[in-house]
Amino acid sequence: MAAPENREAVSATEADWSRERWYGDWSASRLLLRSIRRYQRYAARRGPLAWMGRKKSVLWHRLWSIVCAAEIPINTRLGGGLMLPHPNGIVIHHKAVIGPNCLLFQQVTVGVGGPVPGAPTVGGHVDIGAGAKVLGGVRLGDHCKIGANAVVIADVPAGATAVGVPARVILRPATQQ
Amino acid sequence: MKTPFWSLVREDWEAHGRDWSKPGFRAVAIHRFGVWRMGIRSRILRAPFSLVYRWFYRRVRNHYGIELPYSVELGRRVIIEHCGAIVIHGNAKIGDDCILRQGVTIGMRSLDRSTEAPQLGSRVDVGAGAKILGSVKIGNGAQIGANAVVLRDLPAGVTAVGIPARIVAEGEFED
Repeated sequence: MAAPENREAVSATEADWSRERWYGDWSASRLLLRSIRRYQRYAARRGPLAWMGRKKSVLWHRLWSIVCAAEIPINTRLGGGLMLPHPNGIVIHHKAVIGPNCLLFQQVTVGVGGPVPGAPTVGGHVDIGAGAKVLGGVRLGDHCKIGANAVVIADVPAGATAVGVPARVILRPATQQ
Repeated sequence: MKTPFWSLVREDWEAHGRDWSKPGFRAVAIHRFGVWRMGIRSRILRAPFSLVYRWFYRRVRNHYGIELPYSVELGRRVIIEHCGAIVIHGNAKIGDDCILRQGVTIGMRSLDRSTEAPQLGSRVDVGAGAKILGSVKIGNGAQIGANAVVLRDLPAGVTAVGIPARIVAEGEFED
């Protein structure tokens, strides 16, 4: 096994905006995130200009949602520095809270369902593997990792790795042992 | 001896049930085109084909949700059944007569080893939603169940299911 990656290298509290900045390329997920950020910035302001900006952002959000085939509501609370390398099939519940510097792969669902009522709260710098589903009012701790195709219906502690259906924690951080 | 572009596409068309409208066939055909245009040595002559290729590549990605970069070593008569969220790593290798289905990911395992990608043998049957991650080798004729997560090498002819995938049936043939 290779040396374990340093999960603390990326901050769980300070948003690294370079992770989601649009570089003028054809990255549809970054454009989708940009429309969401713009809408939320305009939503905090008043006046006719902000109103027009909101309407424009909604149209762009619709376009990039279709192109990405992702369903991320425009008023979702997303932390900065969110990375969606392959946005196909990502569904996020509008009441879910996503922390800063997260990484979501394709087909990830963050939604309601499962034994715990409510929508998930995802901490900072959480990597969610392809096809994983996080269901119900669970809490994912900072720096944790969710394996591909996992179904998370219980809390995951900070720094841990959870895999399987239903997800169980297979790796706890060394500092907690 | 390299197989000519049109005969490759014709084989793919026949493998996809002679239906040119199938998203899988279109994705594979665009991949063949992307490989073919890299055969043009001169960068200036290649540039217009690259432009067309990249346009089609984005179209396939955005319309069908199939990300199949031209750098993938794709075998002949590979079938992509259905479409949506098929993501294939640029360094991956896929053998002849493989079948990929919707939601299949063939990619890297962790961000610090982002260039390592799986290598599939011939006639590998990958179930819907299965994920094959990291530098693993899948033997010829292996079958991977739906929603399986393959993180280890699989010998030829086996059937593997689950998270992480374990072998539930051994192969009947050797090669």
